[in-house]
Amino acid sequence: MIETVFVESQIIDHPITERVLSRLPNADVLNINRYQEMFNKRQQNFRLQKEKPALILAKKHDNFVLPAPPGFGMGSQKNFYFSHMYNCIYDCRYCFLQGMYSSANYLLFVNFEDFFRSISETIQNNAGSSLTFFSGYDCDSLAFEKITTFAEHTLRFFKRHPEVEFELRTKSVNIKPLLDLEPISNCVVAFSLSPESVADVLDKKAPRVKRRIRAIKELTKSGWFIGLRLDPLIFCENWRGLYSELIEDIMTDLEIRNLHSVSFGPLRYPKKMYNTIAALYPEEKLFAFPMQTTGQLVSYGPEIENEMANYIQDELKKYLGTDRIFQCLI
Amino acid sequence: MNDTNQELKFFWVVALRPEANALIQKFNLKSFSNHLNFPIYINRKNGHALVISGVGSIKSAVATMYLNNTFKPGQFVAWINIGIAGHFQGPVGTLFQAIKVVNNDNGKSFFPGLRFSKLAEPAELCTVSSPENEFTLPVLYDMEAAGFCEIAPSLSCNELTFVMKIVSDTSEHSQSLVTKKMIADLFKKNSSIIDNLLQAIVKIVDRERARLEDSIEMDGIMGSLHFTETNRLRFRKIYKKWWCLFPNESLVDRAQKASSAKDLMQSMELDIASEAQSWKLK
Repeated sequence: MIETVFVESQIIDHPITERVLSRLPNADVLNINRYQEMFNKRQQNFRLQKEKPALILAKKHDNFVLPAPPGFGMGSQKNFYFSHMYNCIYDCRYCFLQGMYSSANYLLFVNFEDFFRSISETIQNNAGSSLTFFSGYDCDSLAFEKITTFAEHTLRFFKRHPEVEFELRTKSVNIKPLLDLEPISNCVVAFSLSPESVADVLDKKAPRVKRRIRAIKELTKSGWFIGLRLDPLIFCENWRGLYSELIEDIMTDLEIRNLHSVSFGPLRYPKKMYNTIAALYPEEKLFAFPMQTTGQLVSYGPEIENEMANYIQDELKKYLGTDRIFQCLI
Repeated sequence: MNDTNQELKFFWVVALRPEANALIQKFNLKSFSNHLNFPIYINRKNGHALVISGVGSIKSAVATMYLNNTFKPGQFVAWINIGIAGHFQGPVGTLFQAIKVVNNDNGKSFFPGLRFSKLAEPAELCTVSSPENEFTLPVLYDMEAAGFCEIAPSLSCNELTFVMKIVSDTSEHSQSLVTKKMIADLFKKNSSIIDNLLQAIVKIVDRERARLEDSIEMDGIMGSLHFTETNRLRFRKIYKKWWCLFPNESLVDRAQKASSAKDLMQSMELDIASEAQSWKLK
């Protein structure tokens, strides 16, 4: 539950601000000038702040749309991402956000209209190329929907732009807002998944995997395209069995024709980020693993990464063609 | 960390002698030193240290640093600025947790502490350089918190920096009516709230201490074998991983038999690597 909302004075009258505040009638609301006063400041403690995050409502001024890193994408010629929110209501232990920001407060940019304007410009500037826009890189796109209505706004926007593809990434099972809409053929709802026993340990505060799988099947039945994101692949005892079971559970009774794509990717961190996260959670076995450091990158190392990638790919091929299987390599 | 300071968990910075007296009495603090006009009181048994800063933001900042330099505590202790404050509304005697502190002189803002909504009302606080009688804004007014907030988060962390204020004067109840006895009574009235807040704070302190502090075993091993500075850092990292996997085992015997620090670290890394193939996540 959010107890405190900090609002930049300049967007206090913005309709999204008003909507968010109306959804949080018991929260204390304090004004701030700019979110930078309090977000990601030195000496903040992410782990402690995560116990009781506040919500910050702010206006984003630039960098609305950014090119996705190389190796990230599902076949389009150009990939972009945008982040209307920093930080997530879930607390997945492997999440890079823990090492990205010193602040665990949720930062929501309410000026969705500026994001959409910038996306429109990007579409115009890249006419002739196939484009995919990703949301959910710095937050969960759907988890906060009841408060923000972000997905509703964004889906409505992309419905008007059938020439590009949009991926909404989530772990949320709050799919009612989607089921209430007609499926949009250029929009993909992508779910991040790990084997149940892995997620039970690492995906703290996130919906259980079986609920996510149920949501996936419900969405495909209603005509939505969905994506499966087995990312990051977690190495552990009996990982083969666990991932086979996960894939089988998903694929059984799934409307395969509405499965847009499956991607998988390794657990990798920039060295500095890894050290920050490992120091935050020294008791986590995930960070006690003898990881390999190559240059500035920390990973399980090529041997484990390749073994896992090959195995997952083989398992997926049992259910669908390679044209829908993608390896994410960032 | 210095052994003698291990038990200190709460570092109080207060402006006025009557405020300090209330806490000195409450926590049975004894005089530790009285230099530079910053008297310090402590009680190692219950973990409290207190400095009297005097009035004003700069004095509060300097006293905070002085208290830190006197004891050099770890980054897991709680820093608390408590005192009386003016408020536009009151009522007098209410204890607030300031969750936003603004320095009226330069407009700089601070957002101290984890919020304890069930224990104390939250409020915005404005630190002014001269006594406030107008109460033009719907906030608390004091003369120290911004100085304290400028320094304390860098000594521990922002989430372990707390500002608590008890309303002593309002537009209806003039500052001139505030007496030493009244201050003592205000603190007494809020004694159980302060206790509840400390109970909540100590849980965080203990968790952070467990996360950040070197274990006695780790300290002992680093004292018994020769470690270069680089190896010391490496050992800390390896030890934490090793301990995560083997929490019920001791390294002391192995350290005694090890020919060198490097030898010990290698054997620990082998232990960790041997677990890798059947890695358990919990």
